[in-house]
Amino acid sequence: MIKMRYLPGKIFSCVLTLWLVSLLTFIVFQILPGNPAQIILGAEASPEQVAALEKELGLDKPLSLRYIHWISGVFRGDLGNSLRYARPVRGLMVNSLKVTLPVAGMAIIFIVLFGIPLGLAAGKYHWHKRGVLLSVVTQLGTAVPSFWLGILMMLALAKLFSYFTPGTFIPWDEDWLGALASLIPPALTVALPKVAVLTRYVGAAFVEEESADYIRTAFGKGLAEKKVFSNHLLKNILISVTTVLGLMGTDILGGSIIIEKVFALPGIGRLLIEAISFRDFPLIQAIALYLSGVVVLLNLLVDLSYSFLDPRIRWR
Amino acid sequence: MRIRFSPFYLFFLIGILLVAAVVLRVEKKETEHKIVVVIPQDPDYLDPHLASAAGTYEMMFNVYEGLLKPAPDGTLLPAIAERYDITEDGRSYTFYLRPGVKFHNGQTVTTADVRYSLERLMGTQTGQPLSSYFTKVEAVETPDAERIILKLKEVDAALLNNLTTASIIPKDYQELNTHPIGTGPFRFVEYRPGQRVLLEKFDDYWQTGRPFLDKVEFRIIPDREAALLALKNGTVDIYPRIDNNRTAELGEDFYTLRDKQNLVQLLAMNLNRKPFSDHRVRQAVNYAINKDELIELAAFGYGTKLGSGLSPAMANYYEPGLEDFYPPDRAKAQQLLAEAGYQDGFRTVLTVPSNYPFHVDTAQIIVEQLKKVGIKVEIELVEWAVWLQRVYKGRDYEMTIIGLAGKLDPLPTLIRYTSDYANNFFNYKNTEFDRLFQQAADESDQEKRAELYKKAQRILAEDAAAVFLMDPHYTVALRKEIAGYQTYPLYIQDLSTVYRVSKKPR
Repeated sequence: MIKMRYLPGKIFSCVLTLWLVSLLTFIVFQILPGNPAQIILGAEASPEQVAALEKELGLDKPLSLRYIHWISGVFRGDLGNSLRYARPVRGLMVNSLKVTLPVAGMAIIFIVLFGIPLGLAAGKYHWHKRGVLLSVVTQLGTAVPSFWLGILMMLALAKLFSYFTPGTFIPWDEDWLGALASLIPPALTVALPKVAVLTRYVGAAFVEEESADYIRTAFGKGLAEKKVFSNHLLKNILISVTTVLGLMGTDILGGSIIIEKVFALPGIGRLLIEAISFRDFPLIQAIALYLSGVVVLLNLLVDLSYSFLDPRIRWR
Repeated sequence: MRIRFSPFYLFFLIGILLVAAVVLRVEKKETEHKIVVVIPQDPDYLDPHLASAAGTYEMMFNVYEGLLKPAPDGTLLPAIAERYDITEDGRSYTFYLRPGVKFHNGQTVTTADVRYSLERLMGTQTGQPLSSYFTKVEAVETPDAERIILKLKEVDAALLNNLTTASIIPKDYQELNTHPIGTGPFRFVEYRPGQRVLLEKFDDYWQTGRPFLDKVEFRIIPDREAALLALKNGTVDIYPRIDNNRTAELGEDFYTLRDKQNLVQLLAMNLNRKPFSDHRVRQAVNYAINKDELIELAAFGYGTKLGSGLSPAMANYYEPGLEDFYPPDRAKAQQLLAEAGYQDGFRTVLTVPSNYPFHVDTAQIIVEQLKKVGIKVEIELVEWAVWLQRVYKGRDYEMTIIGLAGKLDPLPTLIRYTSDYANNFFNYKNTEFDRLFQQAADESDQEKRAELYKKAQRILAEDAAAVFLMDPHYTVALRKEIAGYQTYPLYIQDLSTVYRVSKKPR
């Protein structure tokens, strides 16, 4: 089981990764042209106004100093103030995550709920007409670009059922049912191409494992088909599924910039675009930290879950 | 027993989801007298003295007021000041406070509040002015509870117009940026970044009977397609600055209003770069561009041709006739190019900010028009931040297209062409223009001042300081049941007169 030697090393490497990402963001930022004060004020502002705002925002100090200030704040749990919104980064992040995380959560539920059963069906009927049909459909599903799917979904829902309108995201504290309902279409849009991918993946794993020796042995010793599936086949398929789900999870939790744009959702993807176009250094750093944190954490979780799924994999 | 992977299982699931979605969608009954206006971006600062974005001003115009207020025709209305006197020499302005004007926190506006607000802008206490509009004001005096006297170092003809943007705020109030307090028809309720700004009716507004609406929401939707769908589906009631080519598909439930928006869209040529340093080349470019065709193709006919750095929306100051100073004439353009030594034309780069699709469309047409006289233009799209840094601040470009928003007064617009102004990204230099501009700034007689500005505009046209393209019309789409909307020659959404027909104003 969990050896104590394993975890500290892993956590150290995670923290190191996070720091390297923030350093990289900082370096890229140094090259990027653009002055936040000028962008905030636009072309109408007088030079005096720009100068005053630069001072107000602390932009007259070198970026390296601002980076050190920022990172020392992070260790105290303070993410600093956004330049663009003139309010704490933490609050902005929380607000955006209130949109992105529910969408991601629902999308992952959809993916697992549809992807795994469909994949098993695809594997089982691999040589059958139904399997071929499924294969064609999932091939299409993986090929369709998500922004197009999103626009189609929006038009269909808006035109046919007048059910959904973009930009209707209702704050949770006002009407949580409404908020949840307004997030279902984007969640479906995020989920559908991934369902197709997972279906193909599970199907392929099914076909591969089905012809493995241990399955033949299991049948040979007289096990019922149901038992063979649940005790032997499913378990082996789940290992590869976990890897794919982990990869998908990092993708989804980052908030789809494209989907959020199409559905006009105020999520983390949109916040990131805004932060970049305004050269909002503290906000970009915080979002980069979150995104890399998600990747690192999910990878860690996937690693840990292997040992539960496969007795051969044990931490050294 | 065999496990069955029945397709019914899937249909069942999808069915459950769809039913759940429809059931969960609780239709809200509209009982409030509320209107939703869609806007493309977040405000920059809620503190009116720090804010400079036009997109912020258009919203907060409903929350804050100055001593004076702009009227829809561009004239001035008294607001917090009931009336004012100006001394003969133009050096002293006396404003009489309107009695009983209340802030949104219930306090009555005093002369001390006015003085505090103006001094905060001027930087009297801090030494750091928040606005460059009041540099000529020497002192703000409040001799009694009724009068506010502005003493000027020299004549400032733009002062009254500039005072409309000097919002009056409560003295020593520190939370303006999170909880704005003004005297306007609407009270600030909340701002959710990326989502909305919510305002509600201010019951103690000094103008009795206004506003009509109980609530106003500014919904932030950056994507134009999504904004259009939201309007069509009834989430949004008013869509300001809708694309002119999209109004036709709105159908019978909507109507549109159009007006000049006091925006000068221009093609700037870097006067410090060859070949644009040559006056003849700039004139040739002017002759080569057909503005009527441009308005037809890029703005779908909804634009007013320009001939100088001011829009005809500023009727008092605009010099008419300049828009045809360079009628489209290809032969003349080619002749001028040949005189300048470019008989075979030349190659150049047109840098356009990619966040303005309208400027990008305009650029594409201009490329075609210039090609016909032998000027080969390559379009370079840059991000807004890069445009500001490199083109606007760094003046590192050959040609660019931009829209410069006009104010109530011509001064902030025309100062851009004075030789030593920091944001003169044209690199335009003409001592005669500078002289006229300075003379106008020091002139207190409005008519003489207008004459001077008109002369200055003629110089801009003669020198071909830029190609002044058009003032693209501002189009606002509204739901049929909404009435009372007024257009301004400024970037303003005035909701104090707006109401739903079904909830007639009392």
